[in-house]
Amino acid sequence: MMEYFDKDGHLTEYAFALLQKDDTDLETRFEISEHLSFCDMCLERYTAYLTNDKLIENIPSGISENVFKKIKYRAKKLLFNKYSTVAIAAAISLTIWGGNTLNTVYEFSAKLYTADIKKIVTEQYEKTEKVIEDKLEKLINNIFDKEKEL
Amino acid sequence: MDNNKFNLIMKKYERLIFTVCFNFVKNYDDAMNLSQETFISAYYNIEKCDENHYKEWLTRIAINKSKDFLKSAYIKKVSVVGEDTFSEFITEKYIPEKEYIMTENVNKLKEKILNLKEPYKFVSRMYFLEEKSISEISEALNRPKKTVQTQIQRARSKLKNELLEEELK
Repeated sequence: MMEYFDKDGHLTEYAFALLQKDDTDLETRFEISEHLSFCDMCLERYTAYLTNDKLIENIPSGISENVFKKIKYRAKKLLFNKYSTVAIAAAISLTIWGGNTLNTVYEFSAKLYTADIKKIVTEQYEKTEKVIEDKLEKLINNIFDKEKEL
Repeated sequence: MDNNKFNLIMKKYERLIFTVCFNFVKNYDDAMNLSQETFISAYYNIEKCDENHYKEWLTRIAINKSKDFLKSAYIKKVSVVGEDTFSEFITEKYIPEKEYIMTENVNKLKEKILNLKEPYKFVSRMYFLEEKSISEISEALNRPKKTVQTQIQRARSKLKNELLEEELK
């Protein structure tokens, strides 16, 4: 039986050929990937082995479009997470301390006493979340649209 | 790097990256997801790479993504055993009965270790027989410590299964 590691612990050409086969078992594939993850020499040999004729012809379409969509989504999520906490804390503080402070405090305390605390916080959160989300959507769309124009 | 330039890089290497991912995971949808994850990681780090080495760099990212994916599948399939795997072969229960049975088991174990194939051969010999540390093995074989640790665990598991199979015969 042919070996996929040589006597020095490096991958053989047989290992690269095994990867092209459909019925290569999970353990073998995992061991080969593990070796390629740290061995620069074998990585270079594997990359050189993958000539044009060995690449899959009909790959699924839309890889690059999906990549940019995901990058855009993650940028939005990152910005939202960063600023929403601060914004919500500020919004709640303003609700309590803005205007007629004492009455507001009494009103708010009464609300907390009689009503569901979670419901009040959730309502305030959702209002602020929508405002921030709309603004971020506009900002990120502007950035990507300007890039297209260039 | 602007998005247009990165888009050109993706178009140039998407067949390669998809092929690499598919060769490891053998599933179109998983390979598609891993290819996208590869390019997303590349997007955030592309300035760190010399453009003459994009092919190898992208391939390495794709392999790492595929490896992590396979690892979770592999762990579910194979049970990993603890530190005292071999204690049942070299335990006190054998000593009162016949000392040579214990010696036999130790010799059997040594033979199995010496006959292991790569990628477990060298790590097993150095760890079990030469009693070298993970750091020493990692340095000698130029493999990451984490890799050495997991290879030792898998070698242990293989040896235990082989010895158990023989005991049952």
